[in-house]
Amino acid sequence: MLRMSPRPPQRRVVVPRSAEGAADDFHLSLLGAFELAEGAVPLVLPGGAQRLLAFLALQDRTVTRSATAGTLWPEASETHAHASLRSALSRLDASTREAIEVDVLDLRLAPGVAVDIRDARALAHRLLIVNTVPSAADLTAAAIAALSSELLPDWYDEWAIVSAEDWRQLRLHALEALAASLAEAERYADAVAAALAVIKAEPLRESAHAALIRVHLAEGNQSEALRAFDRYRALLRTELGLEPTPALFALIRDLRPQ
Amino acid sequence: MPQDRTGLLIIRVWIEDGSEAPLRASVRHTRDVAAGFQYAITLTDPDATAQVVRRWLRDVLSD
Repeated sequence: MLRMSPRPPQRRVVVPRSAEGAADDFHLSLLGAFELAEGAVPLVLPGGAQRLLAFLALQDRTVTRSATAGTLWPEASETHAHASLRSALSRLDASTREAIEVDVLDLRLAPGVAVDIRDARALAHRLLIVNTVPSAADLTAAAIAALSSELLPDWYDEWAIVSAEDWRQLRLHALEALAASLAEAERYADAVAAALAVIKAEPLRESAHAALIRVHLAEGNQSEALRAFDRYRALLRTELGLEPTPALFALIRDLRPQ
Repeated sequence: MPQDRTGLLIIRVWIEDGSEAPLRASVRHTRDVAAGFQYAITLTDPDATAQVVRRWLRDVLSD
């Protein structure tokens, strides 16, 4: 796979810096777009610093300087990669530097920094626990929004792509589980929204359409269920020249004369 | 100074169990990453997928 590694765009926001920058004040957003905020204030960061913070956040552990430099600057020599890492670290202002713990050999994101993808992954895993009723706190529009968000879209570094694909698979399964749980709770509008979020992410994913059809059936909307089936069937024929699986036909079998 | 000839191609693959053709290979590629993916297709055949990749690589080489 040929790849390019473009630098992410900088945000053009100038903000006053706080006198103290405790790590607990930082919130790092990687879902939807990169943003580091101190309190409620987004910070301006050069591209190298953004990549460094995002990489450390996704590792969720201590990483050696060598591994960090080699991953973030894979086409540079070891010497140049290390120099690029030192440069990225030196360009962090005093406040932002609080977000990274650095020693001679290792780096890690400071433990107090809140990272949205970590919370979202924990939510996804909770929703995927089998034979467990999710808590009300997990059956929310905010949960749908978090699971609908891509990780660092438009970042094409290999490490970012791999993490993004891992998150994608997790969130699509979690959204389908969420749709089922919301339907069980008779929150049909939200259940439809969750199922549609999966369909939007991958229109040819049959389990997403199955999830939507099941929500309509649970609400007693047989015509909506048939319409959802017919839309998917038409799409599948147009795009791939295929029919849905027997399992999907079985969902609507009793609704339509054979 | 000659411009770099680069590109990005991503293949996302999954299996639809029970389908008559269970492979799903979603191929996206671009010659200009900043502009986003310029081509996207989903295929069910491994050889057709490989053909898309080969054609794209030849296009990159021929510039």
